[in-house]
Amino acid sequence: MTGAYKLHGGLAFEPALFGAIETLPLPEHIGIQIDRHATPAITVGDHVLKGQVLCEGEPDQALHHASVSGEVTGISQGVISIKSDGQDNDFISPRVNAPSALQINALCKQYGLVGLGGAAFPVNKKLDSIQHHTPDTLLINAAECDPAIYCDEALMQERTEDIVKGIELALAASSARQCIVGIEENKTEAIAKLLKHLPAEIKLVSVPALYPSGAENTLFSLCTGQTGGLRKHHSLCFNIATCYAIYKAVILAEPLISRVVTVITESTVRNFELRIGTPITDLCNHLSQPLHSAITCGGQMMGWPVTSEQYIDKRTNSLIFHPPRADKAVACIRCGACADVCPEKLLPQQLLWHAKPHNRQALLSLDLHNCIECACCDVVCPSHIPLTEYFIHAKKKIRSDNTEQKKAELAKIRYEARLARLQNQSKRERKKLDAKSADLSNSKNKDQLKKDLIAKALQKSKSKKQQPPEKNTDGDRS
Amino acid sequence: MTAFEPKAIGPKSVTSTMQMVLLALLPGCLVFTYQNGWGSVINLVLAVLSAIAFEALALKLRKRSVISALSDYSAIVTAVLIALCLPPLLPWWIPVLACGFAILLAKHAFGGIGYNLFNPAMVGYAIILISFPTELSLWLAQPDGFSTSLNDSIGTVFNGGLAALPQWDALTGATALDQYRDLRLQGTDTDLITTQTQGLFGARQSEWINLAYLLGGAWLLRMRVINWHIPISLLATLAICTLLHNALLSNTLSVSINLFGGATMLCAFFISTDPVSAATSNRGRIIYACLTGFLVYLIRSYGAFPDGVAFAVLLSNCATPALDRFDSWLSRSPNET
Repeated sequence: MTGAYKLHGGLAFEPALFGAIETLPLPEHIGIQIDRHATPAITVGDHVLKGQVLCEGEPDQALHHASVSGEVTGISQGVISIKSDGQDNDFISPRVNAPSALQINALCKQYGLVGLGGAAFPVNKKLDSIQHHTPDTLLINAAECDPAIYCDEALMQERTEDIVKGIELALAASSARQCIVGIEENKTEAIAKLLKHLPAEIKLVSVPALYPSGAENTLFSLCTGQTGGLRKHHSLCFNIATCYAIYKAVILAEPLISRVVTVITESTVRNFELRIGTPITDLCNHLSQPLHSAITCGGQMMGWPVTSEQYIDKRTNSLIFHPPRADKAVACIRCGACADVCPEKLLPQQLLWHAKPHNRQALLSLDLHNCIECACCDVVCPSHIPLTEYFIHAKKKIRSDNTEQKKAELAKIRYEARLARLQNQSKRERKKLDAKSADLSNSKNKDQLKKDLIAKALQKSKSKKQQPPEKNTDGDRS
Repeated sequence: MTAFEPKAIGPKSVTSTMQMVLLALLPGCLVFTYQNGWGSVINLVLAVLSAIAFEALALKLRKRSVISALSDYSAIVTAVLIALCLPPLLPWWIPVLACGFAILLAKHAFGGIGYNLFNPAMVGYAIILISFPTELSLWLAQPDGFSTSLNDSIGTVFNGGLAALPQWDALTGATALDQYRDLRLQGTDTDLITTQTQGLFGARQSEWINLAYLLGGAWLLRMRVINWHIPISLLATLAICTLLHNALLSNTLSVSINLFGGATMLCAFFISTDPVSAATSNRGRIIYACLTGFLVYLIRSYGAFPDGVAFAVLLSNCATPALDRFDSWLSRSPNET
């Protein structure tokens, strides 16, 4: 185990105590959210087995599988509803022995694997993206991405061996030059277990227990000392839970139909292994939480609100019941607390100053594009300003402006080309006209010639008439 | 359990920031009022009440929520800082006027909290310092220790102040910085004055209040209300400039009198650390504080005013926008430019 490079700023949190991974009873019905462009492979009334493919995805989207066996009761608004038959019968897929890198990639696609850290990017797409050159580093993200998420830590404590197998499979599939597991230093139990099982060629780096160490680019620079992000250094990152899913897909031939979710209520922090598609209502009932309670998904720092009518999907890494409400924002007093915690060493208050009137040039020169939207600045701001919201908005605006600008440039090029074409055309036409008019002026002379010719011909015929006509020609005419 | 609170961060709201600043000023206030008696307590009360009134008036005129904006305590901090600069037993309208300029002109004319270019307390103080130099130089010769009764003090304050009393000359005395300034302007050898005004570890009398401010400031640092960059750079620059002056040029104030005399510690920990009018980044703040420290040294050694804190802070405030630009130019990576 080795130490990490230093993180600027960041926030330290007291880790919470959490229990072993629990499960819920088999849900009566589930709802699988499918992508907008995906075509369902089943119709209403079909009977599906657990693990059966539900839709034919677009090539760049992950497949979805039924997480219970039962009857399809509805397909509407991108949700496939399945009523469980209570049998939980498996759809049996053949296992692949000793798969090659390409086979692992294909299995990841077949079993609908996505990154389970939060972004839900298809695993096979990620592996495809490095096809053309051998990646430098395969980073395994064992650091939690939010101070209120413990699902990865629970998984590492309970299923270490499987995870290590998954890491080895991921390494085989990516054929990276080196593999680093980055983990927060205060996860002592997980570190001890990983060290016991990890092979020697995989390096374990303990990083400071500071939020946002778990953000992949931050973790990458903490582990390798290289800045500028994974992509710049031809590296890729998998979450520890993704590695576990790879293990299950490749070795056990199980599609991604469940994940571990941290569930936080006012008094407890628990981890549940939930089927994808479990209604959040089921969880509310199980935890005796009111159905209308405010729920945040995705952690306390970067989370978003959800309602109990929604379903667990592959991105759901945590649910917080009764999240605290935001305080009212007041004017910035320029205290600089935001700059002290910013892991990217930005000046959030200066960015805010320029983001409000959208001063594009200033925002670019203050490196707004480097903001990782970790929301550390929001948490420490004594004026309770939602800085990250402003930055996300400003980044969006810059992006859309860029596309607009590109469009405008393209339109300009097209317009200029059209103008040139039209000019050429008119030039050609003028030439033609010129030629015609030249012809016309010539044709006056021609008329004269014609007249002369006619006159000559007339003269000739007159002179001929005076001579006796030849027989031959006469006979021909008649 | 619903929210995991981050550890080791500063105050959670603007209100608590200001409350902590007030709390940190408490030891200084105690020493100050002990030394200057009821006269300075009356200054404090007048300043705070008038600042609240002016703040409410300004908010009302600007059609802002009066209660929610008043509850940030920023007007009270400004008032207390002004009162801590004023000599006791001033005519009642001087502290009121100072707060009026501070709140109405320096703060709300620029857009209220967060938008003021200049430190409001120092604007208020500088204006009355220039307008009423005599009144503002009348410091008590001996610590009062509340020996003058409250009634007498109120009577003095509402009848023209200390300057209107027949025996004012006997009661007042020049501060260490005053004496140094006077001798310097006369061209006398300043060695003498240094020995006369030297206390245990600073200027006689004002060393204690400076120590109290230092304690409060240290607590602010510990509670992460302020960063070390401004106070440390300011004090270091002042000390280094004084040392160099004494070594290379002529005798000026000793380092100990410069650090523990006048309003040095108040400036280092409470006035120039006002985030609104200071530079933005920590590096910018170091430059900003060095500039302030250098100006304090310059004004004390060469200027017409005995203590240069207010003007040094205001001049540095002027430089802040330029410093911010300079800093962002510095931080731009070379390949971009």
